[in-house]
Amino acid sequence: MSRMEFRMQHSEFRTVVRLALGVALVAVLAIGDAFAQDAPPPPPRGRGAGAAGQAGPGGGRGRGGPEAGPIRRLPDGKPDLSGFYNGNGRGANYGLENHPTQGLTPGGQGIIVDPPDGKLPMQEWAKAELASRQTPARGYDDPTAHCIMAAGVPRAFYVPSPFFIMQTPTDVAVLFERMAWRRIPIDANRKHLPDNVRLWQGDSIGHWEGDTLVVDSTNFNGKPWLNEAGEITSHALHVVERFTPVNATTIMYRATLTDPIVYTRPFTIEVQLIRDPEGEMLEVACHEDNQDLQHMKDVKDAGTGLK
Amino acid sequence: MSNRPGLPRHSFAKAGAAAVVLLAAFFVADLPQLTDHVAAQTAAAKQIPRMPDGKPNLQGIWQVRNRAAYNIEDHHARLNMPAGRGVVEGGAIPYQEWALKKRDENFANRYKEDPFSKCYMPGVPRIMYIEFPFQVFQSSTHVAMAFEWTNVHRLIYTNGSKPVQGIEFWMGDSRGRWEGDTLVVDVTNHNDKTWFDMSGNFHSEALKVTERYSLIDADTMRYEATVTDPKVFTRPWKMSMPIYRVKDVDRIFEYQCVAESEEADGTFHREPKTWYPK
Repeated sequence: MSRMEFRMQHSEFRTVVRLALGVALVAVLAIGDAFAQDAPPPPPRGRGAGAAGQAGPGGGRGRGGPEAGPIRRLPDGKPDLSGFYNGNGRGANYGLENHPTQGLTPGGQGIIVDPPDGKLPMQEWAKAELASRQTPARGYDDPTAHCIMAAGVPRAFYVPSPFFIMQTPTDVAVLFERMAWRRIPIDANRKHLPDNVRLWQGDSIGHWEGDTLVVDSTNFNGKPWLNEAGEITSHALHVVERFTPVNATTIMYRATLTDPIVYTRPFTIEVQLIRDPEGEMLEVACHEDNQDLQHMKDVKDAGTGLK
Repeated sequence: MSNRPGLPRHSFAKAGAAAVVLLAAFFVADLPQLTDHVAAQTAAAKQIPRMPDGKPNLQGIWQVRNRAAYNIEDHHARLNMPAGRGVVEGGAIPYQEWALKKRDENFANRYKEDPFSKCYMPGVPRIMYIEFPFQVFQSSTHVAMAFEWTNVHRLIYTNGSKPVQGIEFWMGDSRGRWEGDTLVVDVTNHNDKTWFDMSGNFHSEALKVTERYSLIDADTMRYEATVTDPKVFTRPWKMSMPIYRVKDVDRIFEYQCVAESEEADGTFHREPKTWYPK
């Protein structure tokens, strides 16, 4: 399967998943539409996915990491993170916890490495809110369904869509193929924005700790969802990301999320970012050809008795 | 007279000769200064930031200060459209007859039809002169342009690679090379859905754009775009404008066009439990 075909499948995939969960009559009609676009569902992820990858088993929870090797370095000795990458999200865009394949929703092994049980430490209200977000009518409320393409931190690193890292002595800029970008200034003396300035992707400040790029992000607006399952963060979110190259092609990516509005304690996720030396930046035109949103609105309206 | 050593004092002839010598000495003595002056002027033009590999360093935050976003031709003021001088060399765009009619139709329907007002990706060159800043990141193999407007970006390859075949892009396919101190970028693989401005100036999918980026000084670059589209124009034409370094900010923000328009019309609505309260 070519990369383009793979991506087309994923761009259609959300529609298919939501519709399968949707109200029967609307769902049937709309699935007809979705399949009319020639998009068969992608192969299930989950248990089999790790074996298919080039980088070996996933890094989380005792599965062993990728083989350590020499890393690429810049003339100044700092690790060279630049290049075209795919995040090996292992189903995290459909749930951060270990979850089975359900209908057309791909399963996943889970990417939470702390707490040790691999579960999101949700407050009670958040559990109820998550359940609400998982009803078909709420699929419409995921900002990415509206093609608001700043998937957010850390979601952009485990959605099934590649990205390009551009590195200079003062900045790391990440260009996401889903047409968004994020700048990480590397400056330990930089200060975060005032509290009243809020951004989709927050305000990021990076610094090097040995060979690890550590990025501290605050000032989130609380709008992005963590994935299509509707997992939650709020404007109180504080993220510390760690990019650690372990060999010439793999970066171990860890993100610790602290959000006292939603969770009872911080939690940490881990995924591998795998470099593709042959990669090229294409373009995802989501909003320009958004077929999903109307379907989801139909589901929502049917579900809430508006239509 | 002069206290310069060795100057003769006792003969007009010698004095005359001395004057010549003196003049020559004066001239010679000042020559290095003159040379410095000329060199300094030249250097002012050449005092541009450079990368470790010697190439001009285009990195930083940039924005135009013209009205090309509204109309790339000369235009007078209208509602929500300030007057402005055009950026097209020679004044008018050389449209084919049918295309000029089409442009005028586009202009009449611009509030409804402008793809930019629908939050669609603006395409190249339009993204370069809308009224939002962008930031350039540069390496020896790539130049990345990151735009405030809707988080759109361009990745320009300067590694000798060839364009992707057979795929049209809203933002085109950009392959660059250095010609002396000028970054020359061939932008191909356009679709036919983008406009050049808010006034309906348009092109077909046969569009090819050749951009030239040259630093005039540390804080100004000259931007030129040569536009070729045999389906729409009678000949290639060129637009040209300065783009200025934005020096009073250390970052650019996010303007998520879809989010802002859908929050405003109620299509995408507030989640009070999680959104920042203001």
